[in-house]
Amino acid sequence: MKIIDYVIIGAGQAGFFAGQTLLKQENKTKITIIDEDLDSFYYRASLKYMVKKRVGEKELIGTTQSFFKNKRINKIAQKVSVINPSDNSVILGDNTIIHYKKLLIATGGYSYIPQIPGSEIEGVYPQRTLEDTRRICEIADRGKFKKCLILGAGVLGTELAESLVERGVKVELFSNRNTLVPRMLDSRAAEIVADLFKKNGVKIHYEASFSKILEDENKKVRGVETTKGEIIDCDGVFICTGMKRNIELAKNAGLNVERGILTNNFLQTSEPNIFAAGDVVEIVDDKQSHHLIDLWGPAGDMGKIAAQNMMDNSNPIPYNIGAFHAYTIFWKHNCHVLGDFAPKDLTGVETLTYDQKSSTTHNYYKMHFKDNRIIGILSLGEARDPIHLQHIISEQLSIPPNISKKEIIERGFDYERILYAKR
Amino acid sequence: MVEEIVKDQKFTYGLELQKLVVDELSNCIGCNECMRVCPVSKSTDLTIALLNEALTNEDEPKGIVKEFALNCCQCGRCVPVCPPGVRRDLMVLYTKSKIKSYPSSYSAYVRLKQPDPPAAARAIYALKKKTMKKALGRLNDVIDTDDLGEAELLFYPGCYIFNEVCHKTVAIMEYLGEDFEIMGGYTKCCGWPQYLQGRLEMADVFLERLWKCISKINPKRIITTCAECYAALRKIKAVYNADFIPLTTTEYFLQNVDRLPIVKFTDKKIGFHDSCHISRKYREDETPRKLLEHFGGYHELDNNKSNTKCCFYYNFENDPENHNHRKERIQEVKDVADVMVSDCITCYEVFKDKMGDEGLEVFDFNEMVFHCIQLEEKKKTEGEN
Repeated sequence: MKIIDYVIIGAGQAGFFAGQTLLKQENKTKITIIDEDLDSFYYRASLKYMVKKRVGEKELIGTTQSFFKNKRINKIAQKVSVINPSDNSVILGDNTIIHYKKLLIATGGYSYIPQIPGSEIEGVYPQRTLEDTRRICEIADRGKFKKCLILGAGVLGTELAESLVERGVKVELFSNRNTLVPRMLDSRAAEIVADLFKKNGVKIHYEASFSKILEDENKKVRGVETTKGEIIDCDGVFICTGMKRNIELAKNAGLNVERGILTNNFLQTSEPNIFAAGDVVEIVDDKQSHHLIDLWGPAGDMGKIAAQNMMDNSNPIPYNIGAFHAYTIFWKHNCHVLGDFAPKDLTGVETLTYDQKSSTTHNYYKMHFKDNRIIGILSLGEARDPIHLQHIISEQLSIPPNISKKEIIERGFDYERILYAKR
Repeated sequence: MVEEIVKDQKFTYGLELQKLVVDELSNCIGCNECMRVCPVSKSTDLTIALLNEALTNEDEPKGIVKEFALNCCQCGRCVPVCPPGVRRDLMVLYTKSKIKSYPSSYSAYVRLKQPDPPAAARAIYALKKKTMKKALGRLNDVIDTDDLGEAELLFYPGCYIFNEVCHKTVAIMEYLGEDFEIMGGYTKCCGWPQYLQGRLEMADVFLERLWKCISKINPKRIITTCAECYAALRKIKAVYNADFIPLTTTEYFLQNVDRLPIVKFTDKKIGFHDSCHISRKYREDETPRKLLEHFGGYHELDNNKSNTKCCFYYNFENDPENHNHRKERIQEVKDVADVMVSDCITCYEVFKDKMGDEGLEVFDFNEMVFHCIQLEEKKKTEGEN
């Protein structure tokens, strides 16, 4: 019986970074990556740029030929149907059995489609994968999209709206709340962003959803009935209402799961030789708090850490949740939220804002300070050195006495002055 | 991956790049926006995947990755367009730093400017000093000397001490009646050009040496004409938590605008060219515009502020397309103005000296202020007569 040292299920961001890290081990360990879609690792977070026609599929491929051709990595384009922790094996769709020493589950997530009557009609699309994106581009190029409706005004929905507009499609956006991108924006930022969308011809429907998706005589989408009773015609409906985690394999294998696969700080599941990384993970920290981190950068970091711990469990490395950092761009306005950017408990919190509009950019920064530290920031417009800020927030660096808070929020402040001040 | 960054450790550029670049690689979303705006020549086969792989690969970069890294002029145009805020400029610089065999133009530069210049380089400096003795005036006494006293105000021309523009800065400071010290010369280099070449250890030596010199002088304000010196001063201020205020000459002039006889001295239309380091990196883009209002206003170029176009100096002429890129920029100026004004001495020199045949006048703020002082003096003399 042949036993593979490391088996990775899922060739996304987490799986790729894990594979790359495992390759650094100098001995002759063998690695197998299994994914149904071995289109390879592609930059999923950039699919919108493909809709915008700003990038082609070639540029979106995240791996190089040298990675693909590495003889230590065996790539299998199949679905895993069963994980069997009792004999350390996985069974593939064609019933092949692969035995592993260590297993990494990096199966990511899938688009969540809420139960709306008519959501199965042709012309209702999810938007998450390369395949989804290819389909959108192809239909748009055939001139089939004259008007599309997008349900969900989070990052995914707003990014898709902008991308489709840039591709010449008329778009209306539906938010089930009275704001946009509530995970990131406060009311002022949402107002600025809404203005950008309106200026670019996107109609926004607030506190509205679809009560029914309507079909034409050819059983294709012809419009929707909104929860406000309005009938709106369209050729395409996009559902951008979030994601769910692919936990079925783990659940069936008897691993502990809740919303994601439960792991400890070391990304180890309830089976000691099975690890998990990326969107699929739900980390339970030492204080028993649960963390779901469905973000691109952290998925890669988790892949690296999980791989390190798979290689050497004598001195495991904890995954440092660090400062939360989410980002997107709205019509050339960079948006970053870092750390505790919308603190619920305002005790001892001092908040400063900067709100200035030039002919091209609206800069809106909101920064929160506590105990002489920056604890969080929302920035819209010109970016404010997010990498430096992430370090400053996660390392809880104090503001040196020769720097005022007013100075810190000003455009052009040098964050290195806080970053290096402790040296 | 968030790790503690150089805390309690000696600062080195290499360590900084390791932390800010390699550990942040997973944040790259591969959107290719950086490469779309990147102006330098590169192979059509160059992908983000190849560039990212070069960062984690311990081998020396080669082929199209090496070619691209050497063409990179570190203009930083790739940074503002990056959705996650990844520093592609520093990523390429890190790749550059792993190159073992640099092209001759890169090497020629550091042969003359290195922490311990060889005898031949010293002889060249001595000759230059001798031939420029008259023009240098009081600067003769300060070039490359460590014998500098404490001063509240320091003028730091760095390697540009031989440049006429800096001599005008001195004249303007004297006009303002300032009491100041001057520090400059090749051994007082800020190390930033070497840093932009990827010669990080060499740049470390210069940075530390510069800080030692500054500490001895203990100034409250340091004025410089050079964008790279300005960047090094900002770095020193951050790394050593220094109390001095680094100022570009433009900021200094604006602060003293009421004491300077600035007038609109030309009817020619002025187009302002932003520098990569001052305007894009440090966002000091309002100061020159405010100052230009005192000269009668300016015209905005198509690509400016964070979107400004580079002068392409810091690829050390490795990219054969440099000349054409500069021609494009000159055309942008000509579309709206008659004269290009720059607040960066490197941009000024490149557009004036290397592109002199293109028929565009190039002004520097020091020249402009100095010209106004001369006009005032002329007027006074005429009045007296």
